[in-house]
Amino acid sequence: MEVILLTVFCSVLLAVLFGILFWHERRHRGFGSAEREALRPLEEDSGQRSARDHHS
Amino acid sequence: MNQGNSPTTTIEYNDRAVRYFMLAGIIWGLVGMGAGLLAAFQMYFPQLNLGLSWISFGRLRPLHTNGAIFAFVGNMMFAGIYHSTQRLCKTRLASRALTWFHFWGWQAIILGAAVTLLAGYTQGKEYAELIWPLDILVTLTWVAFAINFFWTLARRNEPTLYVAIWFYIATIITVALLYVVNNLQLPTSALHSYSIYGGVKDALVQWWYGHNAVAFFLTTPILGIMYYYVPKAANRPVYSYRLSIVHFWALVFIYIWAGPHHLLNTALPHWLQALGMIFSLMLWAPSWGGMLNGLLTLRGAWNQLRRDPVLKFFAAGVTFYGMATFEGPLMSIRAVNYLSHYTDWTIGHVHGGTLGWNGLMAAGMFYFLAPRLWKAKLWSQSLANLHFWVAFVGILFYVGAMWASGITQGLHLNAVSDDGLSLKYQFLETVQTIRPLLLFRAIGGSFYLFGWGLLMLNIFMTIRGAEPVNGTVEVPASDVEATRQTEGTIGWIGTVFNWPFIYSAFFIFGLLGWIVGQGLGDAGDIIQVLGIGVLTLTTLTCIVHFQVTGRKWGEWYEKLIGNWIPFTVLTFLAVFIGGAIQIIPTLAVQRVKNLEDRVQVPYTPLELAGRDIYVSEGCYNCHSQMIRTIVPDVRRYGDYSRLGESIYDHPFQWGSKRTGPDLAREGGVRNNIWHYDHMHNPQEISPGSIMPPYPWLLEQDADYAAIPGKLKALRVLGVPYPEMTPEEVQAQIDEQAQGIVDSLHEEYRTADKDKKIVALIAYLQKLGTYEDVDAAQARIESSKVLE
Repeated sequence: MEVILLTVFCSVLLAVLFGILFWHERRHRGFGSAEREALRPLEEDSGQRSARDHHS
Repeated sequence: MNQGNSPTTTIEYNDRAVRYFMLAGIIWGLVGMGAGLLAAFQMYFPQLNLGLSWISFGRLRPLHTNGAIFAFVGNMMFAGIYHSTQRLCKTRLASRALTWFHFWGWQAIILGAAVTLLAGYTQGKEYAELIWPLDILVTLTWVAFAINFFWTLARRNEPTLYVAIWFYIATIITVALLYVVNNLQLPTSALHSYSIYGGVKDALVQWWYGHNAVAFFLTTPILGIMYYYVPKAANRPVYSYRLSIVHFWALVFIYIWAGPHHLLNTALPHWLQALGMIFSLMLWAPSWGGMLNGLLTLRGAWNQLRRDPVLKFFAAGVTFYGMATFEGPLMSIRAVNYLSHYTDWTIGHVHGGTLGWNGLMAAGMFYFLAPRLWKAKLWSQSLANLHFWVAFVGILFYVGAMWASGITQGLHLNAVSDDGLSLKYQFLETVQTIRPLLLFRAIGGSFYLFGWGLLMLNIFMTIRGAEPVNGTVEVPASDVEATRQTEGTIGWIGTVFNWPFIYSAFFIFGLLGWIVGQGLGDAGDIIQVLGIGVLTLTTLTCIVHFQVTGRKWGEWYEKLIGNWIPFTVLTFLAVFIGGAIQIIPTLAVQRVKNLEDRVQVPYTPLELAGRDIYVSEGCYNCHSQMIRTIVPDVRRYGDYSRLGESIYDHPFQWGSKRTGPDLAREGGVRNNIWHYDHMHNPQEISPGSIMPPYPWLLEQDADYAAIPGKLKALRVLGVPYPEMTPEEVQAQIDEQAQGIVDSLHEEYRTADKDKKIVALIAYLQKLGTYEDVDAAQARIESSKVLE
């Protein structure tokens, strides 16, 4: 019984937290520097150099 | 951060290492999957081992699993980590020497593993089979990787650490912790050792490691890769940065606890089984949160999937992640595990993860990287698309066949006759039922491997004659200055003495009180109530506090991700708590009271030699030695296995799959001649069996000379062997072996007492032998293990 109660509590708690997050994300995207952080992977290399010119 | 007229520095990334790791990953992928395919066909055609020891299933399967995990995914993730980390930190890898030591060290480990595993040198623990010299090399190489990685973080020119880096940090520190703890062993020679843990203790540590090898080697680094490459390929920011924070911390904290779900319905204490099940179920939330974060990143870009193979692979890979992480917790429910455990359902589950999640993500990343690292267009988009569909169909064949096989066999093994008093099917009948599905599995695997061949051709044609290039970046001096200012702003006091950390700590303490209280009897009730109280109060206070003061959790977190050392320490704490709670009580579960009524009788020298042959041949890959506490198991194999009955087993051999029947009580069930003939030609003795023949056991000599040293090592580990001279040991071996040889001669089988088959028969006939605890009390009291 304890195990079931604990499982239900933890699962519901996490599900609710994630539910709130998704709901919140739809309304207020990001926090502070989050928008800048989220764009980080999109930055491209400035250029390329041949790797044959020298040993890396 | 790029600011107007600030002077810049040009940095050239070390992409050569990325290219090397990528090509190694592609080649080892072929080897790992090829070994798996051969093993799959051997299950349908057992004679396919051609009577050769080094390609028999028991040796091939560890090569396949280690090859797929550490060689294929390992090299793939190193390529992804090194490529993305340099760009996310806008700096070159810190050390050229460490980078190449890492690369060549890792390839040397893989080659060493391939040779030793096929030669039968193994620790006998799943995914931890490598012998101790290779374990040392793994540790050294991992340390080089860690130093190189953290040194690169320290030299970065970006103020904060992007989410992908968090997952890489968790991977590096947790794999180090898992690998070292699980591989503690006592060498007996240059190629052999015994695990310092025995029986249930070994089982718990091993599955804490085994489960988290999946979590922190096959999942967290690939999630980091997902968070970098999916936005990049879709040219869209990650759906929710905030969600990624919750995803990361919830995942690394919860995952580490779930190991005991591999030992459900055994004699393992119930509170540990419950712990494994609860945390497995909780994993649903962060896993699916992460999956949705990945998939929703593609919002508005779904149309690109039609023509872009990279996005196709990524979208399908992330979807398979979701499927596998839904299925895993489902299988961790004890009632479901009752059916699924030891069957092909588990095999289908893990391959949904490796072929679907890891394999498709790897392919997507390789197709993404190759044109960029060699300054060339992908040779054929349509071939890459064909690869996707061939692989996808292959996975569906494979996983579908294994689901059907697992559920069918599970139902048949548990079925009872109409009167409810006896089992409905013999084990061999269930094997015959699922046999066509084993062929389907091999066909699915062939599709997948064919797809990998298409990738190899495509990448080869792309890079052939193309120019390898290294990326460069212009870093403004203002970025460098901003980074230096951010680093060190939080400090140790700022890391710990702040409200978010304090509330999190109280929440975890409350949760632990509730959970741990379950295993402590009456006193536990008070602890549980206190735990629930702390949990509730903390949650309410936290909500009110932040609402009233208007403070943001993110203020602290933004500082934290600018400081890699406190971040790493908190990540370590998050994974350490779960590990400690499980491992420390394990040290207690072998106490006398937990032996129940039985204790194992230590093996004789000949039986020990036979056991080492059993481990060396990888028999545990197909046979369990653990009769679960469920009615069908007890009816089929005998009384359930007590913890005391494997107390001297270094390593434990409970197994995780029953391709053949359980052997926990095999001793005395069949005579020596049956075992001799069965090893020589299983199908002749058991028509319909899919066990491969082991003719070399009748021809090769056992290594009796090593036994005195092995006995000494086991005595050090707490097995109550008396002091014996090598001559006394040999005399015991000779006497027992002669008895077996004589029994074989009675039915006209010729065997010399030095042959491996004799030692193995001695071991098999010992299985299930135990003493009452009272009768063994003197031995128990003199053993430090049992105190």
